[in-house]
Amino acid sequence: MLNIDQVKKIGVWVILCLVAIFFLTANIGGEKAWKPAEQIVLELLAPLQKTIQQAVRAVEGVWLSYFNLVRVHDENLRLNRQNNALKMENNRYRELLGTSRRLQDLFAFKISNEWPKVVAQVIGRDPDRLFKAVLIDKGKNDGLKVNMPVVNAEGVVGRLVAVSPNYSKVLLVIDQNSAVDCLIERSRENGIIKGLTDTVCRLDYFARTGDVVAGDFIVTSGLERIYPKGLPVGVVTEVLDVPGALFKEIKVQPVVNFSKLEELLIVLKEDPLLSQ
Amino acid sequence: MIALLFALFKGNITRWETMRFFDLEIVIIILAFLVTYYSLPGAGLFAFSLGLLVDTFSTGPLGLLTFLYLASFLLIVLGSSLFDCRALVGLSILTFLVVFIKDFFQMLLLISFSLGTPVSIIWLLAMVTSAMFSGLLAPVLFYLLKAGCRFFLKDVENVF
Repeated sequence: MLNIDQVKKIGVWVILCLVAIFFLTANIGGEKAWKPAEQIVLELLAPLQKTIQQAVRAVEGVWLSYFNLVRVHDENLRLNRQNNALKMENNRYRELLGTSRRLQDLFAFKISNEWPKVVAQVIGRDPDRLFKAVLIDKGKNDGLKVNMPVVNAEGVVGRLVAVSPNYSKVLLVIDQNSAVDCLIERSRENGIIKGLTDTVCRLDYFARTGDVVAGDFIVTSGLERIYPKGLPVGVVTEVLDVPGALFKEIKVQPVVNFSKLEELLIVLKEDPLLSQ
Repeated sequence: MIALLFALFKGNITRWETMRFFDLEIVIIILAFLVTYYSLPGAGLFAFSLGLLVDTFSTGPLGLLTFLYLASFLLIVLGSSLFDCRALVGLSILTFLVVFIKDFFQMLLLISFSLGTPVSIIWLLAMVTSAMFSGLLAPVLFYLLKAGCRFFLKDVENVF
């Protein structure tokens, strides 16, 4: 027989669980944007997150600078910067080469490069290993809005899913809840990139009769109006034709190294559906 | 505070895929500590509030980690009647079981809500190894937490 104290303790636990379940069921499938209370909490805690991130980077910096070969590290940084600049230029030239056959695609790509951009630092990551998101140090005060695309020198990183006055959350394309409408650059056939693991995505809804081979480059299609057209997303690594299936099973390696995200570019391109 | 700092810090470690095999569930260990040495309502409120905070930073649905931490709290309360948390072996086994069940339950919830969980052998292996890692380090953390409490909260020496 339970006494009053035990009943009270169980009751408190049951109430807390019901509140948690209420939050969970109310937010399943809904907007991931921060509510006002969450924004307040985030504004208070994000500076702490930023400090932790800076401490981690400082430790990494000490390790790389003093326990590795200093000269090799500096040369590596220089070459990486040069490589990033060359990658951006190469991506642009590849797209121009591919779309030079169709003047309309070239025009769309030139518009996509004219969007203003904001640079942000990654100050934190999703604490749960099943979800993949990063926290950045720019928010509404910098002109950011939900669903704005986020890129870096290598390619598409993700999109903004929550924005507070000074901080924002970026849903990475490798997250299983992310979906990016894409094209095979060579054959211009459509598919949707969905996250799988940190280094592998899958290309869904690609018809069995479609033309795709390993090594094909994948770029954004611009159809869902979030990402500008022509931004690099990944490279096809595996194509499987499953007998009886409607679609091919395609594995894609993202062009971005998501374990080394530091600086990101937020393209100030508003989602036309949100702004209505 | 320690749990909050670690929750904010954890994402920086688990970005490397290898470290996901050694993901330390410090929140569960602190919960077990609070259940063993402090009050149950306090531990329950700690689980609830920290879960809400972590949910704010996470991309998962709001309430998911809150519910999981509360479920872990219940498992610890029930498990403490079977395993002695003040003994090394009991604490390690309880921590391993709670972490493993919490991760498994999280996977089931995500699949049920069609949130897409990439279930694979490697992912299951990471779940088991991280539970083992947490179980092995739980006694060490318990000792550090006790030492910290003795140092900062001298008036509760009698608790231990």
